[in-house]
Amino acid sequence: MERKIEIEVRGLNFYYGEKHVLKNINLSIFKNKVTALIGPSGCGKTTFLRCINRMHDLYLGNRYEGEIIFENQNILDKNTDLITLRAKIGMVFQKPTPFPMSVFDNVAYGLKLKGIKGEELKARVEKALIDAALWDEVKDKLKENAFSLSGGQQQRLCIARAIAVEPKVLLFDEPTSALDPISSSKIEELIIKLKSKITIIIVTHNMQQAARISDYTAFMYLGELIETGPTEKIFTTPEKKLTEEYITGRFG
Amino acid sequence: MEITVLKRKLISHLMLVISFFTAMYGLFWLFWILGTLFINGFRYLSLDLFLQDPTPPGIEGGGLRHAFIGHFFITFLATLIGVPIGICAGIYYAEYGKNLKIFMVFKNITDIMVSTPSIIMGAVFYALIVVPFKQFNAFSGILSLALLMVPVISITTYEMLSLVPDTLREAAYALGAYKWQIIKDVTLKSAKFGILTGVLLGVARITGETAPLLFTAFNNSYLSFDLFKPMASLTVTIFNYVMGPYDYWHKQAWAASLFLTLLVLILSLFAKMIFHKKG
Repeated sequence: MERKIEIEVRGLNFYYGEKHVLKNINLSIFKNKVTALIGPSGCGKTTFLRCINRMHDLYLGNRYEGEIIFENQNILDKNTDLITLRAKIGMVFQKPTPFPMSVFDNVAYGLKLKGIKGEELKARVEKALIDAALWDEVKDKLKENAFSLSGGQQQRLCIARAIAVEPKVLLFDEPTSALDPISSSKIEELIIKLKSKITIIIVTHNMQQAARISDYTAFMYLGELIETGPTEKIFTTPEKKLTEEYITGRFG
Repeated sequence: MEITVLKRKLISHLMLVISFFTAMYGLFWLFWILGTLFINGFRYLSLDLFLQDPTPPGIEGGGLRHAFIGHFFITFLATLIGVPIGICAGIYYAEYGKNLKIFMVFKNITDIMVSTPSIIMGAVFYALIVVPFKQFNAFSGILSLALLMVPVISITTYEMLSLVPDTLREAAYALGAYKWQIIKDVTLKSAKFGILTGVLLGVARITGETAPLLFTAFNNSYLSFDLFKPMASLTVTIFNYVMGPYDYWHKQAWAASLFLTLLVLILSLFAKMIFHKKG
């Protein structure tokens, strides 16, 4: 099986003020695979995810140590252009975050930032909506306000918006935790489909979900990466006792 | 046990009675003032009030056309200057200033400025403009009203922008947007109704002000559009007419007061309507 590394995390430490939140994380994220981050609440999964597109930089009092290598560069470097980085590493959030504009304009937003206009813009928006399995549901209401869509549709709209700019990596922060089961399974199918083009990292509380959609799983506990490996192995024959206890539901 | 419950009930009833009477005390005076104003104002309201300029003092008749026009002129220009400054300041507080330590100082000063006596704004521009040019002028009045509305609008803008969830900003950042693009396209759009409410409240605030105009724009018995000469306003005219000796002045002042009160009332209601509509 071909395994190309997309992101290499080496010795990552992260601090919120004085609090040491992530402790010496080492992890390889493989290209065109789905990597799931699991672990109990407060273990640092989301914090780790937000390091990868430097989302923490929007707030004061954060400090990174170590390296995250992406495209042969350490993205934790002070000189990293965050705008370019975030255009390559997209993100989908726990709750749908449609912008206060029409369905079309939501998907077009990132493309317009890149200066794409006219017919190409229309074609790229349509393609993104088709890829996000939303086109059939919204093709007649592209001009309607995005808030008129259902929660699940809004979340797929956000995915369409994120994939429209053709990122290399897409970060999902518990994308289905606010959705009903049917909407959730649609998003799961979508994630599996998207990995042929995009490397995906997903934070999830739902272990069945991790087992269903991910190729690799990383288990985190109290800011440390306890164990990582192919999902099948983590869920059937974990090496660490802690991993086994979490997976079998003995805590968490 | 029984006794404590009884005691609690008693205290509860007592508090209810006290708060009821204090509310009644406030409302009584309010309705008395408004009632008198409506009765007298409507009695003397006439079309001539809006269409005629004043007659020479002592000669009955005429109207306050010059003051209505001057008032709208001053309010309009003050809004034109004050609104952009207020909104920009609010954007700064909400989107840029939060990461600065000095921000709390700025914001507290703005909070205090909301309730600064308006006459101080007038005094500022009296010293800065009227004294050096040795001439009361409309321009200084416009600037003092503009300064008066800046804190009202900037605080509302700040509060409305603070209500926009951070994840919405983060979602835009995650697409590779610059901060100014996010503010322009996402946060301002999300908060637009709230900000519009602030603008209307700001206009309502300045339209009823007399003090900042007393020694800036002063007053004028004639219609004037010259920014560098004294200009009539409704509020100062009302003040002068009330103090004046003629009975017909008093009547016109009643009518003009009613008009101003209704204007502020309508603006406030409109602001509330817009704010609730967005939800």
